Amino acid sequence: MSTAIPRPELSALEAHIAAWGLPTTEHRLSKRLSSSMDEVRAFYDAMLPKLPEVIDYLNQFPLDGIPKNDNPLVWATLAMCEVDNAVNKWNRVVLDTGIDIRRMIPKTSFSDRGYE
Amino acid sequence: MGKAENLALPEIGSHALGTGKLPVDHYVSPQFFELEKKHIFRKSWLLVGRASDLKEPGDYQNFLVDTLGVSVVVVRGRDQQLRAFYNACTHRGSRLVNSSTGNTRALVCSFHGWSFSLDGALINAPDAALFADLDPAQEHLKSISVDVWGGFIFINLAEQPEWTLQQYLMPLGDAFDRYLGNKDWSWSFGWRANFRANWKLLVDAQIEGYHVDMTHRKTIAGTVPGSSTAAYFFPESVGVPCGVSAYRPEDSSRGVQTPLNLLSAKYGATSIYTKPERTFAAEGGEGVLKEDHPLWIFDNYLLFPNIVLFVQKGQIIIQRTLPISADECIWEVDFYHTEKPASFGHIFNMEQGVIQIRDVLSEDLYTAEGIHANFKCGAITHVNLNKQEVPLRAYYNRLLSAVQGGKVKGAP
Ligand code: FES
Ligand SMILES: [Fe+2]
Repeated sequence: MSTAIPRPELSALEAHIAAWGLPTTEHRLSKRLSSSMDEVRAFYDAMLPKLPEVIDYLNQFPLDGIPKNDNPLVWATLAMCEVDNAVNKWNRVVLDTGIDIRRMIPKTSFSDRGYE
Repeated sequence: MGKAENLALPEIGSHALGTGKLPVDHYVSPQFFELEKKHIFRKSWLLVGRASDLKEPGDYQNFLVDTLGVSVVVVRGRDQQLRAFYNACTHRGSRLVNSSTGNTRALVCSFHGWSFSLDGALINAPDAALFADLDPAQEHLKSISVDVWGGFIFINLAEQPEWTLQQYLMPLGDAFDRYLGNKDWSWSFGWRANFRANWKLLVDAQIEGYHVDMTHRKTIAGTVPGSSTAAYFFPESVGVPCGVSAYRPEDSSRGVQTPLNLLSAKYGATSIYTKPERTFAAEGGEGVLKEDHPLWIFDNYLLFPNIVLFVQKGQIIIQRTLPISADECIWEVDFYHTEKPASFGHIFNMEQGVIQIRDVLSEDLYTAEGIHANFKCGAITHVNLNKQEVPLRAYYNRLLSAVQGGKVKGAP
């Protein structure tokens, strides 16, 4: 077993982590849609260089063993997936060639038709 | 598998089903929609669920065919048999279950308390002596045909379905049945949305590759070029009129690979979710692929009338569309995988894949409402179809034959 990977030094990122470390994909989508492109890009640019290190750090834990304190870091890392296309393909916060993503309601199972 | 001589990409289609324009009335006419309800939704095999979601005796699900007002209860019996019934109490017709899924010892009506066993027999009517001549044997829940293929539950509202489910899905064959039926497939995520569009427009958007370069210009364009999609049709099939295969471009540098894509790919397969040939074959995938091709990404099949089934190495995507009226529908998509994420890297990888595919789907869905409005207002009366859109022609032919009560050539 290799030695534990220490938590990367992230003090310069803490404000971004607090802002983008939201618990679900839907929250992170709303955050993107309500941010300016400058805000999205600032988050992306700050986070990207640290990302490989952060993933290696989080990846060393079993899923149920990730320190609770790191939840915002987990979520902010996943938020990078949410802003990826905005930064790299669209140069805007909304994909204007698709339906509003918020019309797509997440399901909880194959049979979930929302009439519980 | 994966032989080098397969590198030449397949032909993209043919004009064998004709070249004429198609009228658009079938998408907007209320009269035609009545025919669809009668001849299609009341007679086709409809995908309603996954057998492994109803494992234990008493596990049930409630499937609503909105436009018919039909609610169906599918329930696992104590004998492990799956049965389907109209969700209608035979006392005075109340619905028996209201939630999407659940587990119960008996189907108990909450109006006056009649209760039915899991096989539909009336087992108790409170104060039965109050009735003049109640014969419980006559008050059995009304049964609906149900069968399982590929681990998925289908129902058929016809009194006597014209074809067995196996006959219906014939072009897909036993290898498919076994592969998709593999118990390891489990539901990962899905979405649903309502559209102000005819239900078929949501299906049409998924069964041709001609749209890919333009519709997906802001997402996957380049990674799955339109020219690398092969269209095909099965004119003799009742339930699988057509399909499309998609391939990677021979030039692997096409399309934008973002740093996030490349990073997430280190921890698993993302939106283009593909396993190595050997893993795929070991999981029972042998014989499933239409094409044995190193650049192959997915096959999709239209399961008539309303399902588009995508099969990849390691991922199944099912799109379902059910009408509410001629002008409104519910669209759903569901993803199945054989692995659950076990580490953060894998979660990161899945998140990237989910978001990428979500954005692509949002583009596929984008045009439907505009098309429907244009059809409805008479701005467009006919559509043009090319070789690559031949699956739409096959779909249309199957649709017309179904509403005319017509048999399919060569079908059993
Ligand atoms: S309607 Fe069901 S018990 Fe009366
Ligand atoms: Fe598409």
